[in-house]
Amino acid sequence: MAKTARIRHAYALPPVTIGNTMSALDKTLILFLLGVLLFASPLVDWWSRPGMPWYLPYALWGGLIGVGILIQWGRGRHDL
Amino acid sequence: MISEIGVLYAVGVAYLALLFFIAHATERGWLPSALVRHPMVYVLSLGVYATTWTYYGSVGFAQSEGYNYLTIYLGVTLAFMLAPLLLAPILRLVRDYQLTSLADLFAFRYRSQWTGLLVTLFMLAGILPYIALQIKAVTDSVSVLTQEAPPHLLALGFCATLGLFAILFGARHITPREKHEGLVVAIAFESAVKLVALLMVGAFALFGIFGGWSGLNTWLMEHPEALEALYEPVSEGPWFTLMLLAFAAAFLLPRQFHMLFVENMDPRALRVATWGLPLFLLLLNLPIPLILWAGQAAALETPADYFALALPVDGGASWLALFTFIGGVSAASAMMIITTLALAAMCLNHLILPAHVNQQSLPQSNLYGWLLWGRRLLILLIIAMGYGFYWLLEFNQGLVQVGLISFVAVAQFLPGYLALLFWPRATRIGFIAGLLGGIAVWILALIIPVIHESGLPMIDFNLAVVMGAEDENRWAFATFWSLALNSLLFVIGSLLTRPTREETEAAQACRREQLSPAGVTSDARNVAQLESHLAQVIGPQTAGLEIQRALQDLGMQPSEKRPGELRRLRTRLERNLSGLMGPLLARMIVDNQLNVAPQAQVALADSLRFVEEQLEHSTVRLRGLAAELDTLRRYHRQVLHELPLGVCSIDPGGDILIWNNTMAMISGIDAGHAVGQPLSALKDPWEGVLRTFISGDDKHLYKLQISVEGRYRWLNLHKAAIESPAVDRSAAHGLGGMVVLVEDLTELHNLESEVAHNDRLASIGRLAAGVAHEIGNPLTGITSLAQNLRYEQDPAEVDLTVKQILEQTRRINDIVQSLITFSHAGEAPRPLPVTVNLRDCVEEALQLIKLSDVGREVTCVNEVPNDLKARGNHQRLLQVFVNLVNNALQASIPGDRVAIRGTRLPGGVEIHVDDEGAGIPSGLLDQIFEPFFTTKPPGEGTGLGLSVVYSIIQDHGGLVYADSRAQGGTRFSIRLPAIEEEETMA
Repeated sequence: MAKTARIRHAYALPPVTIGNTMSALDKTLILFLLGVLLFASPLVDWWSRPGMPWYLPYALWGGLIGVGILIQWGRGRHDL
Repeated sequence: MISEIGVLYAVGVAYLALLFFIAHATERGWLPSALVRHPMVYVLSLGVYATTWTYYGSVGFAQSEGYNYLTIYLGVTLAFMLAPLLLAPILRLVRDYQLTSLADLFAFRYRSQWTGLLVTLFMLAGILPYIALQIKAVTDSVSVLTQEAPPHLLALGFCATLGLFAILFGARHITPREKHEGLVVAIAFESAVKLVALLMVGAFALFGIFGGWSGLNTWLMEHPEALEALYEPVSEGPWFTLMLLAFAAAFLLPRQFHMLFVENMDPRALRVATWGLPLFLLLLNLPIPLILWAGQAAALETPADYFALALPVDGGASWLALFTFIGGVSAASAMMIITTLALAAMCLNHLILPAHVNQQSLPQSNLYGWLLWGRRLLILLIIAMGYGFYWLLEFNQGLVQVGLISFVAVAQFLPGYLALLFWPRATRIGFIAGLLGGIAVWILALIIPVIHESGLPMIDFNLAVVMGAEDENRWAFATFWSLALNSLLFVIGSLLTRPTREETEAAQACRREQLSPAGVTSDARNVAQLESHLAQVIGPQTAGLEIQRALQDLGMQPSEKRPGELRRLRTRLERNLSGLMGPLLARMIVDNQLNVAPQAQVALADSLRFVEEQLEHSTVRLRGLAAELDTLRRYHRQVLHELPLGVCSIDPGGDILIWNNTMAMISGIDAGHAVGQPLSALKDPWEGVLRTFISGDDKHLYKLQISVEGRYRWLNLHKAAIESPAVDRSAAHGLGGMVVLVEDLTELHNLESEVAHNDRLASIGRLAAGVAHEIGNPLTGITSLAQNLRYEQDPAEVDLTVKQILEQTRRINDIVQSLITFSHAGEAPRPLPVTVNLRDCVEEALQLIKLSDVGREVTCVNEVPNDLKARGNHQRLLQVFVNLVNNALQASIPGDRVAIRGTRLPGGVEIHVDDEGAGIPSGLLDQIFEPFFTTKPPGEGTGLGLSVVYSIIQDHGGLVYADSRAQGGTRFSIRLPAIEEEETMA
């Protein structure tokens, strides 16, 4: 019994990541969809209404880039 | 006002000279490599996307189309956010297969000369007006600064200087496949200049014209229509169309493809570019509304396209105007240089070279020089054609219009690009049909109307108008219908045709799904033959250099003969030639000269290595269960390689499949030199040892003594047949074979020898007193006899006395000889086994034991039959009996009897050493042969005696065991194998 237990322990793999963390691909797609939502959806009509500050498109664009930078920090070295 | 054209020309030339210096300094290594290879340099070099269209044209675009101008950069942002999906796989492909342009990429995937030709011609048609646009922007900027029409000589001089630069830093190497670090750094510098110049103009507009943020806000409140003019067209204009065009242009424009993939020096830099390039473009566009409003506030009469230049001129900031002009030169020159290089590579590989190869008119000597000069001439020709377009077309469209024509053109490659990544079923027929359909709509909806509007002789036809669309929606119409028709024909064409074998292979390579290597070359058996075949097409000099380079890339020796390795060399050659002449010609040359036999069975070792290489590079693509299985595979592989046992696996063909780290350490043969080799290629003694063992019947071989490089090693070998693991045996393709485990016992053996030696020394110590006593008696006798001899006169008595002295001396000598024999036993190298008379051996052991004090009152009886013999080492067997009898004596009490008996058994002999002592508790019987196990009080026994016995008997291929006797005491039994009959007879 003791031997069997040892062998099982030796074969234990590193923790499986499914469901725990998002893969690089998931993050990429989420970022892209966020970009599409902001700049290639009817939301464009919302932020381009009259009366909006002139820098609003730049602010949204900068925010999207900021999210991209944050995602990059979380990526492993094999992601690309 | 800067009115002197000469001054501007001199400034422009001086700036280009600075670029020369930067590129030169980089290539000479004067700039630190940390700077040159910094990811931000790569990001800035991608800023070549922003041409004069951005630099000057964005302000005009913003005036006419409001914030729609942002789409040209937001599309790029979205494309780069998909970099891991869209760009990284192509970067790997371009690097692995040494592709140099988009035409190369499509020709590689769709495997057709027509593909490369069509892409190249369409790209030329689509991009040449864009080059002309850059020349026009520079001459117009001069005209804005000088307020006079610039001479055509200026444009010509600008083009000539750029041509020279492109040749010097983009086509200076003997082979075109090297990266051009100098060029990349110079382009990055140009991007930085563009950015700084535009930001400075923006700051000038904000603080110089409006007097700061409050002034800007006040002006905007006074002119609400200015802000409305920016926002309003967003919901009305072609926002989504432009964004789609920019999305495609981000990686399909020749200059983008070239900088993104071909000149990429470190794939990791692409990660930084995913946010770095969008950030660069954001900063570049930030000043655009400010410049526009400042121009409107200052009521400039210049077209809005050139507000960035006119604003500082109007404000009296001549230095800023000059710097802005330099920024414009930067934008134009960077685009022209990179586009020209990319187009030249396409033209050479897909227009010029195929014609020469088809006519077999490639030069047989100095092919590199021929190719280099071909590229240089093409660079000059393309710039000249751009200049021709500049002359031909009277650009009454804005800068943006001409740029957009190019964008719609390159967007036609989007279906082919996406199919390359995600649709392996796509075929060349589908690709060509789709592209032709897209081109037709592009010509009918955009080119003909634009040429007609330019006043050139052309029919008045506009597809958009014919189809009932409004002329202002021509971009949306042309983009949608060209891409729709393109995609439709692509899909239909692909579904109606079947991909060829080459296309399937290429599709697998693009998706990294190729899990078995191509067959082995049937024409060449070694590297020299490979070289001679290749020399028939590209000449002996180039063939020699290419072979040398490929060998160097793979770390291979010129003496290589393994079929699998020659296949790798062939593949490498094809890839290297692809960097030189394009993928199609490379494939054609290699295929024609080095035939592959696809039916030939690829060695299992070769297949496994190929699959492992594929899997090593596909971590990102594996997901879910496949990723987990790959993790498991890597874990098992690691276990196998780190196992402290030598593991060697042989495929059914006799080639080595696995050679783990321990095996490499034991044998001194590196895995790289063993895997894929047949056993016969291994150096002595490994080939003989493994071959004999594998072909033999024994599944285990113990304590095999071999000599490796003058040193003895002792090995245990074990083997097992491997059953094919595949469920479908027919698909297993010869999986199976044999696995051999090699246990290195050398250290253990050395330790045992040391233990035995120590035990012997301990025995000698115990014998010392007895020896002294035994020697003392004859010595006393000799002394007495010698004293008597002095007074003896009778010769007969003297003679008798001398005989007695000699007798005593011989006795002493016998004792000393026995001791020497015993103490020398077991020292390496061991003598060859001989036939040992066991009774004599036991007798000698008893004589030795009598020398010690142990068991002086115990009777030892040698009852071994006189004819009982075994094959072995006399000295070592002597030690066995000494140790066993000693052990028996120590267990006995005065008056006991120790008997040594022997019997013959079928296949061997058996010796028993019986004592009448207290016996050994049954619980300890299993442990008594372990080293250092003793039941004696500390300091009285070493615990080595029986373990040495066990080791020696095992070496003799025998058995030793202990048992309690029914009548009391212990019986130690030794079994030794029988000797050959003839030896027994002898």
